[in-house]
Amino acid sequence: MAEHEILLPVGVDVEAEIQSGGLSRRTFVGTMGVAGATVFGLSMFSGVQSLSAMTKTPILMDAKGVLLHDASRCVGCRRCEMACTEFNDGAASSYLSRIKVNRNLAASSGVNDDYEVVADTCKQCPHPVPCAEACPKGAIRADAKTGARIVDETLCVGCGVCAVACPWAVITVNPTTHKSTKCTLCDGNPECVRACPTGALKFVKWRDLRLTTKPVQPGIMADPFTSAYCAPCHT
Amino acid sequence: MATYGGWTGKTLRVDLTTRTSTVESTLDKYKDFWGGTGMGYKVLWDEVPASTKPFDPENRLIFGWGPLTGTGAPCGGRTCITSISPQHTKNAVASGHMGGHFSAEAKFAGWDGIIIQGKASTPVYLAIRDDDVQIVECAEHSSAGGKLWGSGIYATTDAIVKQMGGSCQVAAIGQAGENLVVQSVIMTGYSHSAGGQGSIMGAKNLKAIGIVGTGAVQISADKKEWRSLIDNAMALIGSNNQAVVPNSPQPWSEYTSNARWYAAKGKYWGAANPPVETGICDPHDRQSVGLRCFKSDPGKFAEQFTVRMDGCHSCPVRCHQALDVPTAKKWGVKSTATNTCTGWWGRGVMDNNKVIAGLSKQEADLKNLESYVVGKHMTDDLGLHNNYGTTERGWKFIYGTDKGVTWIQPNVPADEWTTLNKAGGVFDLYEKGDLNFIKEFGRLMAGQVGELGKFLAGSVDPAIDAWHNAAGDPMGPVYRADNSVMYWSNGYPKHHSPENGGDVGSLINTGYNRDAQNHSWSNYLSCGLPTEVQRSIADYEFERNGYPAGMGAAIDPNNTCSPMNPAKARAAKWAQARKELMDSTGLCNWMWPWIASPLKERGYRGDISLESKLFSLATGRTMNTLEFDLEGERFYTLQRALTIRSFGSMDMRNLHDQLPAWALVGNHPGKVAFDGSNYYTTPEDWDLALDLYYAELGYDKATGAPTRATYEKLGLKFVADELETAHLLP
Amino acid sequence: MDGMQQRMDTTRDEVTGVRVEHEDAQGAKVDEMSAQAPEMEPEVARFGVKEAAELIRAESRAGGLTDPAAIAKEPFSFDDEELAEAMEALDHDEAYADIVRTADERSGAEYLHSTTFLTVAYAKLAIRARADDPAYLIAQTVRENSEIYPKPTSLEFFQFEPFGLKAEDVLTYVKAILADEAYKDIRTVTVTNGMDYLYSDKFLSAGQAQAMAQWVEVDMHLDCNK
Repeated sequence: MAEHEILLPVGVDVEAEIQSGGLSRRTFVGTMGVAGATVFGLSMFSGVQSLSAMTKTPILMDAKGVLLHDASRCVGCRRCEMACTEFNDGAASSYLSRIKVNRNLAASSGVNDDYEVVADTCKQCPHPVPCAEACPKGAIRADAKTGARIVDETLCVGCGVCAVACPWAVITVNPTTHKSTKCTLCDGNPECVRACPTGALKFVKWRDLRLTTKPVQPGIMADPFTSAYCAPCHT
Repeated sequence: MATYGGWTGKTLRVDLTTRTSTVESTLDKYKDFWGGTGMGYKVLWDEVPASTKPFDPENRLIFGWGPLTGTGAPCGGRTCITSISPQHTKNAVASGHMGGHFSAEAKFAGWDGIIIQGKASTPVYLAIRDDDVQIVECAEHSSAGGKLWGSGIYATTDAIVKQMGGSCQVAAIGQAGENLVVQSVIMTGYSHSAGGQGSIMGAKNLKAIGIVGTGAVQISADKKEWRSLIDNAMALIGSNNQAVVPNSPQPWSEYTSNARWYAAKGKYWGAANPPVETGICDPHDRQSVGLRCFKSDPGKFAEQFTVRMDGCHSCPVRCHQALDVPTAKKWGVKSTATNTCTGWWGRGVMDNNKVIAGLSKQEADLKNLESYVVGKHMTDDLGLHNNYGTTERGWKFIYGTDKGVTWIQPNVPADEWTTLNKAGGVFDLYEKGDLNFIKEFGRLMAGQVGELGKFLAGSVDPAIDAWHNAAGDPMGPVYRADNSVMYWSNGYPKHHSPENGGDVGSLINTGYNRDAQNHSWSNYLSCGLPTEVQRSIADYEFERNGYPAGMGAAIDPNNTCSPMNPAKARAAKWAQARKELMDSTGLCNWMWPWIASPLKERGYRGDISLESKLFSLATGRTMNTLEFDLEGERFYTLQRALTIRSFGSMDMRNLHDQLPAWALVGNHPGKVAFDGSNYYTTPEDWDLALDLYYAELGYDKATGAPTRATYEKLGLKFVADELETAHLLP
Repeated sequence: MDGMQQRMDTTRDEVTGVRVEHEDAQGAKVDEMSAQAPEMEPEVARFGVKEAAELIRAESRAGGLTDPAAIAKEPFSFDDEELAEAMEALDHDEAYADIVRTADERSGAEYLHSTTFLTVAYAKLAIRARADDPAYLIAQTVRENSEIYPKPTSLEFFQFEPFGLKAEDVLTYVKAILADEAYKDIRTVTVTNGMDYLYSDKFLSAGQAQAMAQWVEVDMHLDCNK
C-alpha cells in the first residue's frame, strides 16, 4: 500500500472514529490540495443507504512534482512524445504519449499562426483528482515515491471513463492492451524532460497548474455538495 | 518471415483511375529496398516503362519514408517522393524531399509508403485514418478560398485539418500543381516542400493527402538498449548541416567557424514571449541542442523577429526560422512565416538594390525582411518550386541589364510585351523594388500566363533552347555557360558541386537527374573544424569502420579543388550511398551522417556507424557499417539503371556525367587549376575522376554503366537481365 | 538567469569520453528557482580550495577567466600561505585536474579556468582581449586563423565576445596594423559584396584567402537568397 494511502475497512464509522480520537479531523480534506490528507475507505454512514454500492473515495495526497511546459521555448520537435513512449513502452506513438504535442501543432502554424506550441501535460491534480474519482475500479492511485497519479493495470478494465474525465484529455486507452495510460512522471526522472532539446520542459516541485492551463474538454467532476460520493467529508 | 520492428509491414497502393486502394506487404515486396527512394526506384523499375511520360496515368508517384520514421532516431522526419521527372529533359527518375511531420503520421497510421497511380476522373483528395482510406471528391469539400481544387496550399491544409482533426498532417499542391506547372511542389505543414512533382499530382487530379494515425512504431531492441543508443546519438549531434564548431567564440570550443551554430549569449529569439536567449550551448548540455542553430537567413536584423525555430519530426536541430514581421501585413500577407534556405525563394527574385533604394538602413532592413515573408507566402501558397535557385537566377538572366530587351522581347508577342511594360505591370514593379512584384511574378508563373509565364513555369531545357535573341541566336548555350545561373545539366542547377569538395562535389552532383539534394560530404567540409583535423578524423573514422585507409585525402576545402585521387572516388560513392540510405530509412541527409561531433574529448570524432546501429536496433535486421553502405549502393545503382533506361543509352559518361563549362578552368581566363584559389578543374582531371569513380562503383569505364557483375553483386540480377535484352548492358 | 539550463549530474564514460547522466538519480530533480535555500551551518563556513575550484568552474562556465589574485580577495580572504596551498592543490590534485592556468603569451600573467567549460584556446583569445592591445589582438588572431584552419578572418569577427570591439574601432586598428612593420604579413582581401577580410601571407596566398572569404561571404549563401 502506498504511503499516501490509508484504507479503512469497509464498515468503519468515520465520524465515530473522529469523535473517539482514532482519526484526527485535521487529516480530513477541508480544502483542496492540503498536504497530509490521507486516503481512507469510507464506511456507510447511518442513513446513507445509497453508499452501499460504493467502496472507496480516493483522496490522493499531492504529488511531489509536476511537469511544467514553457511554450516560449517549445519548438514542436515532439522528442518528448518519442521518449515517453519508446523508453517506457518500447514503441513510438504520439497517440499514446502521455505528453501530447501532435494534436496542437496545426493550431500553432496554420489556424492561429502564432507559432506557440502547447504541450498538454498531466497536472497531477490535487484532490479531487478527476481521473481517479471517475474510475469505477479505483485503478488510479498515487505512486508511493512520487505521488504521481498512476494507473494500476491489474485493476484497469479499459473503460475509458478516465480519458473522458480528464479536463486536459491527457489520458489515452491503449487500443492494443485495452488499458488506460497516463503520465507516471517516470519514477521521478521524467523521460520527456530529459529529451527536450530546448529546456521547454521542466520537472518542478508540485504546483497547481489547473487554473493556468485551459481545459480542452468538459471532463467529469463530482460536485462535492450534492454528490453522495463526497458527502462523508463535505457535509 | 521474421518480424521486424521499424516497418509497419504495410504499403498502401491507391489507383485513382479505379478509385480503389490495396494493401501490399512491405517486406514481401520491398524488403531489399526498405522505403523512400529505394522503394520508389523499385516500383518505377517494375511498373513504369521508359516510354511513360510524367503526366501519364501510368506514371507512379511514390511517397516513401523508412523504418526509422516516427521513432526517436534524431532527425528522422523526412518524406521522399519519387517519380519520373517532368523537369528532366529525358524525364529520368528524380525525387523530391519534404520534411515536417507527414511521414511520422503516416507511420502511426500504419503505412510504410503510399504508391499513387492512375488518374482520377475529377479532382480528389485522400483522407487516410489509420487503415481507413477514402478517396474524396474535392467538390464535396469547400475551403476558405472556395472549392478545394483551385485553392492555395494554406486554405487546403486548413480545410482538411479542420475536417480530420488537429493531429492531421496534410501533403497538398497549390494552384501551380493543378495548372501542371513543372516548377511546382508538394507541400506539407505550410512550409515543407518537395520540389519538382506538384504537377504530377495535378496531372492525376490529386489535390492532397490528409493522414491521421493512432498507432505505434515498434522498436525491435530492448527499450533500454534503444534508449542508450538514442542518448549516444544525442551526445554526438552537432547543429544544422553537421556544424560542430560555433559561429562565434564560445568558451567550450577550441575553434570558431562560419558553420550553422549561431547561438551565443545575448542572441535571442527576440519575438518569443518572453524572449529566449540561445546562450553558450555547451555541447554537453542536452537541453540546449535546439538552441544552437538559430540560422537567420534574412540576417542579424531578423533575430528580433524570431518567435522560435521550427523543423521536422524528431529533429532537435530546428533549421526553420519562424518569423513574425508585423509590417509585412501591408503587402496583404500574414505577418508570420517560417522556412529555411531556398524555401525563402520569392525574396530572391527581387533585385536587392532596387528594393532598398532610397531607404534608411532600418527601413531597408525592414523591407528586406518583409520581402522574405511575402516571397515565402507567395511561393508556398501557390505551391511553386524554384529548382534550387534556378527560377530566380534565370529571371535575372532574362531580365538582364536592359529590362528584357535582349532575351524576353523577341520571345513574347507584342501585346504581351506591352502588358509587361505598362505602368504598374510586372517590369515596373520590379524596377521600383515594389514587393507586389513577387505576387505578380507568382501569378504569372503559377498560371502559366503568357509566354513569359510558360517560360518560367516549364522545364528549363526546352524553354532556354526555344528562346532566342533578336538575331535568332538561341539562348540555351549562353544561359548554360553563364556562371551566375549555375546551370548543371539536363535542366537542373548545381547543388553542392565543385565548390564543395572539388571533384568529389562534382561527382556527387552528376549522379542524379536533378540538383543533388546530397549533403553527406558537403556537410563535413563545412562543419567548421580545421582542414587537417577533418582529414585525420576522416582517416580514423572510415578505417575504423572497415574502409581503406586514407579517406582524409578526399578532402578539398570549400571553394578549392586539388587533383583527383582514389580517396575522392570512394568519398563520392560513399556520399551517394549514404544519401540513398537516409532517403530510404527516413533520416535527414541535411544532417546525417556524422563524421564529426562537437566533443573535444573525442577529438571531435563523430560516428559513421550510428545509422546502421539505429537501423539494426529499430528493425532487428542487424548490419554493420559496410553492410549498411552496400545496401545504399544497391539503391543508387538501381537509380543509375533507371536513368540508363530513360536515356535509352548506356553512355552515361558522355550523355549524363559531363561537367558544365563554367566548372572548367579553361573558361576562366587568368585562373590556374589546383592552386587553392578556385574550384575549377581540367578536362583531363575530370576524365580521371570518372575513371576512378566508375572503378570504385564497379561501372564500365567507357560508358559509366554498371556491369552485370556489379548488378549481381548488389542483388539486381533482374535489372541486368532486362538491360541486356535492351542492349543497355556493357 | 541563463535560460532554464539545468545542472546535470554527469559522469564521463570511460570508453567514449562522453558525458552521461547518472542512471540512478534518486527521487525528483528540483527546479532551482523553487528549491529551498540550504540551511546554513551554525558557524560561518571556512572557504577552502574546494570552494575556490567551484568558483573557477562557475566563472568558466559563464565564459570568464579567474585571476588568481582574485581568489585571495573576496570571498575567500586567503592569506599568502593559504593561497599558496590552494594553488598547489589546484595544480596537482586529481580532483582539480580540469583547472589549469593559461598565460598571457607576452606578459606571462596567468589566469585560471576549468577546461571542462572553457578551453585553453578560448582562454588565449580572452587573455589577448584583456591585454588592451587591439592591434596585437587582431593581428595575432588573424595569423592563428590563417595557420590553423587555414582561413582568413572577417573584421566583424572582432565584434564578438570575448573581444567586443566596435566596428568603427576595428577599422581604425586595421589601418594601424597595415601601416605597422611588425605586422607586415597581415593583408586584406575584399569580397564581391564589399566585405573585407584579413589574412597572414605567412600561411595563405592572396588567391586562397580570396576564395575562402568569397565562400563565406557570398557563395555559401547563394542558394539561401541572401
